[in-house]
Amino acid sequence: MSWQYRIEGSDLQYVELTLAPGDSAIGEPGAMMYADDGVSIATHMGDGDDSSLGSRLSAGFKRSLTGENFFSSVFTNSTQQPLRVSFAAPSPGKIIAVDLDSVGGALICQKGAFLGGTRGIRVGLAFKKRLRAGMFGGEGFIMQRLSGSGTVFIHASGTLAAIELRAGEQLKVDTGCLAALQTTVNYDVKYVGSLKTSMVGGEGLFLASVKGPGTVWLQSLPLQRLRAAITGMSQSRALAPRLLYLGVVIFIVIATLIGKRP
Amino acid sequence: MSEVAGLLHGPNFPVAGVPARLAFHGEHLRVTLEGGAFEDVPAESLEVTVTGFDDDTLQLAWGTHGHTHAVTIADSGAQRVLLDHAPASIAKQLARGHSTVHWHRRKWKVVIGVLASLALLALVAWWQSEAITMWAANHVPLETEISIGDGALAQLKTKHQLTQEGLAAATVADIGARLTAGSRYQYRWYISDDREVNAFALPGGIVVVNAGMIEAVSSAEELAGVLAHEVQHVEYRHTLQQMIHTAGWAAVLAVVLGDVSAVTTIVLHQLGNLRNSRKLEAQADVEGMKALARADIPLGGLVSLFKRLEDQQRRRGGEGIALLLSHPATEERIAELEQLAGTLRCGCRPLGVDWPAVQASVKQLQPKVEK
Repeated sequence: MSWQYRIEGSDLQYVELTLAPGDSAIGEPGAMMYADDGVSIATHMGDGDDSSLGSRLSAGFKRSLTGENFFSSVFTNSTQQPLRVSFAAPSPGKIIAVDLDSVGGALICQKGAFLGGTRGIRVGLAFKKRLRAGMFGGEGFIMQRLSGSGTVFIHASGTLAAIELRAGEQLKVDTGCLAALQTTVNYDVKYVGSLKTSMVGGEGLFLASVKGPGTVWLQSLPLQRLRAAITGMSQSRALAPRLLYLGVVIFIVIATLIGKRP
Repeated sequence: MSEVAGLLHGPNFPVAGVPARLAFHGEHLRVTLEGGAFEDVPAESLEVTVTGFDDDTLQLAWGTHGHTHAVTIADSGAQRVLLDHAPASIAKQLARGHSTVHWHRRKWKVVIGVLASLALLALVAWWQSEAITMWAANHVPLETEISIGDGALAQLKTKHQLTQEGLAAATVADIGARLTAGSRYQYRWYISDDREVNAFALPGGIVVVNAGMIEAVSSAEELAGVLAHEVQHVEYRHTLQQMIHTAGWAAVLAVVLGDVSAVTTIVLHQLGNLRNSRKLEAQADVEGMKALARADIPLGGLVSLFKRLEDQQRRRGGEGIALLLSHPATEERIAELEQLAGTLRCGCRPLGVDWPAVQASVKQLQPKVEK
């Protein structure tokens, strides 16, 4: 079942979708912008489905670990005519709609990306099992796994680029720019490879690396970077983190030199 | 031939891939789509990699006419089946890929398992710490024990004058020799110029009796009670146990950092501040009484000394007597000592020492002048 929806706005967007009679949608609490009068709003623990209390509790717990709310709001059209409901993005950026059936029934997103979608879609935990990717990949160890059948609306900051990768095709991605990826995509980090680049090149020590087959969605302005740009204007840059970074770089240089000794 | 399910990816297919069925036929991998056969791929042209967000998917890729096609198999059972039916030319590559997948699935369990067993080990070590320190103390070689004792003795000599000569030292050595007959330690007995009422044992068989002790004790039998007790701290390696117990982590850290001299410093520093636990004191009491009984020395010495010193301390007030600080003379302890004295068989005879002469001999010992 495909949904009727339209995404409005250029950089500060919202999505308006039309609920057919008897249809329901779930959204993050606080994301709703407006809804027609006949739409009933209920709050459910977990993913808003009718499972047992224990599984709803654990679903709620998983949701809160992935940057979402413990509860979700369920919007139901119990009238006989189509009604509108809309969700607004919480920060500057883009909303995209992904049909989960077309990507194999599951999608991995960065924390907090889920905005709303078809009722029945689950927000689960995608635990990144590679230590280096979890630590240096810019997304942390925990991401979201949206699974089920239907449409999801995800939100990312900045402009979103959807890039299709063929089997074995690789892409270097700045850490933190990965917004979403198909489950078939392999995600890892790679050392930038040159000390000079990592110190003065501004890309950091590591780059994320994604390998096809599958689609990845990249965001142009991760929230951390936006925050750094804003706070950097309001106050002078703190010295401590830079010193810490320098210390780490020196440590890695020494470790490399020791490692190279015959 | 058993078929398994996978996804086919290629330039003319949707990016999520299309469902396909895969099976090895001889040296070929046959890929079948819903509409019919797609391709027979020679096994030697397949490239095996591990992919997917969770590193749990096997990918077999091949190139034809400049296009790359690939099949991915996410299901663990399907991977197993494919591996079991693979021809020899690809079996090795497949097995390596499969074991990588397996490792990524297992490694966090391994990490958690290792952490949990370390925690368990620490718990057991804490629970059994007494047994472990006792075991460690019993495995310190005799030479090490003696060298620790010698080190402590040398340190002591910088502060006090220690002597093995004179009537007092001879008397102590006499009584001591009777108490330690048959011991594996070669005992050395010292009189110190210190006026504190105290006596103590160092590891390796060094016993130091302060001049103050000789003056405070009213008979050779009382001194024998004290010596018998102190000697047990050596025999049962109580000092070593306490050292290992309190120095434990600091010593381990110092050894790890490669600083052996630091260990010596820690150990020597502790010698001055050692307080044996109540359990070790009780053991020394019991074994001391038995040693007295074996040596046919009257058993009441320690009790009468404790009672008198307690009395003195109560009357004097203020500063405590050193011996009582390290050996709390509780009523319970005195009662236990008296009860034990009643049960032991002893052909006891008085020692017959001219005690006032011994006390007079330590009068000449002048405290060492601090430099």
